[in-house]
Amino acid sequence: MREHELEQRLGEALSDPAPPPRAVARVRSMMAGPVASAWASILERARALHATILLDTRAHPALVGFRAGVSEGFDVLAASEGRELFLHIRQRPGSAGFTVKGKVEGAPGAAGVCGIAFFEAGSASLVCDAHTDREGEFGAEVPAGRYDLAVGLDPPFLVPGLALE
Amino acid sequence: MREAHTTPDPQSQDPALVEACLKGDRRAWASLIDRYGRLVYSVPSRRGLPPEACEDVFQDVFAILLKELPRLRDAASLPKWLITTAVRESARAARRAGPTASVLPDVQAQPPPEEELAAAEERQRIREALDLLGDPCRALLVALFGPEKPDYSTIARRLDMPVGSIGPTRARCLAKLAAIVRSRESA
Repeated sequence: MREHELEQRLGEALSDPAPPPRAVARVRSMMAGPVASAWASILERARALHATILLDTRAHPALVGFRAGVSEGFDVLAASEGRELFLHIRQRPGSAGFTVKGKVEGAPGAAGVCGIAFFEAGSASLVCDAHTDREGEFGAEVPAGRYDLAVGLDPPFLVPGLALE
Repeated sequence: MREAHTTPDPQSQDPALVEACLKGDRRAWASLIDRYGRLVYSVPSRRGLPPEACEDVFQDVFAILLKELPRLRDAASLPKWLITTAVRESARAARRAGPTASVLPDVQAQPPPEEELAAAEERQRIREALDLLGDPCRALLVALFGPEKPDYSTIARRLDMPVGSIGPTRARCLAKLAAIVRSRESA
């Protein structure tokens, strides 16, 4: 295949628009359980308590010891009232989606399991959710998009506008 | 070139994903949507349907897929099935829009389904090859050949690389991409 032919094919492949996250969320929820309704009230409370982003390695590619690219992964650290949420995010090979591995730390009482949910940014559309294990660790597969990330501690908090793209 | 041999072909994982979906695995369902969402959405979009109708078609196709999963005889040909279903649902959506809608002439002017099928599959293969390529090559090629097409200085700033290295890196990345495409075409 000649280079200009590949360039043309590449341009055509990249000109296809991605489906909007809200449409992806609706389609994902076709196989969702009853969790979506439970998350609605948690999201409402979480909106009152926004976490502060302490670190996003995409903005600091030169930081030693941190990963910054999309395919090799990048790290985000957010905090709210002494609780911390650490995320390592990596694009999945062969997919437009992302693998998110995270840890919730410093929960009062350290009572183990809590829920994490990705909502389409600025809306109540639940895209996916996960639960931590007793060490506070969790994993999720998330489509590309912009998200409000709700952490279901008591009180719940929100990491708004997390861009995975 | 190494990536093409060490990373599994995404489509080869389809039968296992379909099997997992049939057992109610939400992650497998999400993976199928991530993998083929853009492919499905591209069909109504390229046929000139408005964004709301494209979303309806996108949703309808996956709803049909979920219903038909137990009867999907050949999970390996899932992309073909999705494109064919998306073409049919797009035509239905265009008819619903009515003869006065401006979308209808555009829909009729599109190539016949066989050509559309081959072209959509081709675009999907290129996107999958691009994902297998990984960063920084993937990010550079998306910046250079994506619809936005920023100038070299903008790309250099965004990707944190010298302007002078964009040209040589571009050539190396295209060569790697070509190798992945070739290896998948001959597989």
